[in-house]
Amino acid sequence: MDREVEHYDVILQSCLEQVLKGQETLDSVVSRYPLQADTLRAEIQVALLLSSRQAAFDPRPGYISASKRRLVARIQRETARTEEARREKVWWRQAGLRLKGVTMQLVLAALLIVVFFFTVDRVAAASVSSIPGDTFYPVKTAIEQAQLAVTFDDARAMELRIEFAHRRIAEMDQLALEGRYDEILATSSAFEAQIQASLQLLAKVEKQNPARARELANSLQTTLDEQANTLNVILSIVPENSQAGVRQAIKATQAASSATKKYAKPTESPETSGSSSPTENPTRETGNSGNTGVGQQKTPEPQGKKATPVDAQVSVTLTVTTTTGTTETQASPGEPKPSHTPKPKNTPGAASVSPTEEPAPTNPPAPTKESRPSKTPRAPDSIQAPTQSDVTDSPPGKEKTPSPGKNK
Amino acid sequence: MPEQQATDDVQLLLKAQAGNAEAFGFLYERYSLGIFRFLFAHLDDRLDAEDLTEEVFIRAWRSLPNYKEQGVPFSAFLYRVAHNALIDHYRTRNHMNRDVEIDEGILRDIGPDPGDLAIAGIEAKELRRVMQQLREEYRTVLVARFLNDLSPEETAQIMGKTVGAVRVLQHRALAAMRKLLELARGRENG
Repeated sequence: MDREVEHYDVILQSCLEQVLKGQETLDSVVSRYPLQADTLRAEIQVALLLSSRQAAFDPRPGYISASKRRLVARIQRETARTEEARREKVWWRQAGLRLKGVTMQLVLAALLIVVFFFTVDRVAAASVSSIPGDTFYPVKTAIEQAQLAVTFDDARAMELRIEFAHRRIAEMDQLALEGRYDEILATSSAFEAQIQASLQLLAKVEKQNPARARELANSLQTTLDEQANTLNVILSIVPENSQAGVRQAIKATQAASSATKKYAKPTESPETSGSSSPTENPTRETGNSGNTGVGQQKTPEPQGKKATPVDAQVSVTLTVTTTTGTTETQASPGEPKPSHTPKPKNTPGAASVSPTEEPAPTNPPAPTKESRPSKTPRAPDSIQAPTQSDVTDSPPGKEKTPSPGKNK
Repeated sequence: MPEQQATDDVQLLLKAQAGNAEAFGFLYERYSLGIFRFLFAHLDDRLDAEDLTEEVFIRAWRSLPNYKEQGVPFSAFLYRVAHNALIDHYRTRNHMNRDVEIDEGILRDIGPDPGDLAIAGIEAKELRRVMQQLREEYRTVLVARFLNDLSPEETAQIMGKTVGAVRVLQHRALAAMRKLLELARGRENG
């Protein structure tokens, strides 16, 4: 069927073309197909009519060219309008985004602040126990710098410097224990810088408030004594090729100790003794001034205060240090009967003597438990000195037991 | 469609799709006459046909980003747009398409001998009126085949039918047209 229709259409088209071209007449082309003649003729006539009457369906003259110009102009206008609208939309979108961005920024800022304060505490806590070379150690030093930056009182700044010097010694101690000797020299330099800054501040405070300066000098002296003890212990731990930094720190301690003496005063009066002698209060953070320990006259053991077997501790310490056989060791404590003990609670670098232990001159020198500096805030896997026990807080033997809720 | 023209169309299209209005203007020149004739054959007003022709090309321009020549030449695409525009025009103008289906049986009864049909003298206006009476499909195929000189294949693409269907449609459209012309002639004479 399709083939017949196609064939017929071909014939029709052929005949139509021949007639339109004037090559044949309608009768002549139709006569060639007698079987389809009637239909062919009728359809060719209509087709001829339509083909010859194309003009009947044409536009007005000139329409095409004029309408083309109109069309192109209209398209160009539309394109320009679209582009302008798009640019405006972009601007609005950007403005909207900016506006939204401002709100978003505020929200993000608020979130960041919350996260910051939530994490900074954790980071700060993690940084406290860090030592040079640890990830959070820069945070620790940054916090220290920040503390100094907001401290405008020279006396308070000096107390901070003393604390930081103490931390450097504790760090050196831990570095030595962990065998990280490379960091010791730099830490020693940092310690020395803190000591020097302390002395400078002491000079300023002395001009402003001599009494306060005396207190600070005593505190500094105590610290220097403790640090000297610790440094001597460290010296015994580190290998020879790493001892330079330790010796440097010891020398700084000695020099500072000498420089501090001119600010300190003998404190045998009850006032001074009553004013929080370090013997009675082992805690360091109070910054209590007190009688100087080594090299100074000693105060009598206070009455009614928390008693600690100070003398015994110190004597043990002395024994230990003296038996290390170094001249520095001899020089720094020097006194056979110091009246002040290192406060074990916050003294990671303090001479590690358990106040609960009986003084035993025969105790072996470092590295014994007694001589080893306590490690306060370190992780549980580090060596914990017995001096860590809370002498001042609870009687011996009454250790803090973890509450049931804490253990899982 | 000659191959050269097809190639030219592709290049012009690419330029037009890139935003070149002048390139689209050339395409307009090439196809506007056929579109106009198509529209005019369906409308009873030349001015409407002119307006709608421009509208068709504006729509085509806007649809260019979506046009992809995948077996459907641009001309067929234009006719599709024109067909849709026509429908929208009818709806807008509330113009009922006087698409009266011619009962071919009646025409056979009253139709004169085709051989004696003198249709050469029919005026253009009459011709258009007769065209208006045909079914839309008949009108389309006749416009495409005999007014716009499109091949059966091109017509098939425009109408979305097979070539065989177009040929059958053409055959019926010519017959119906003939009948209507005879009727019109008969009324004149009569």
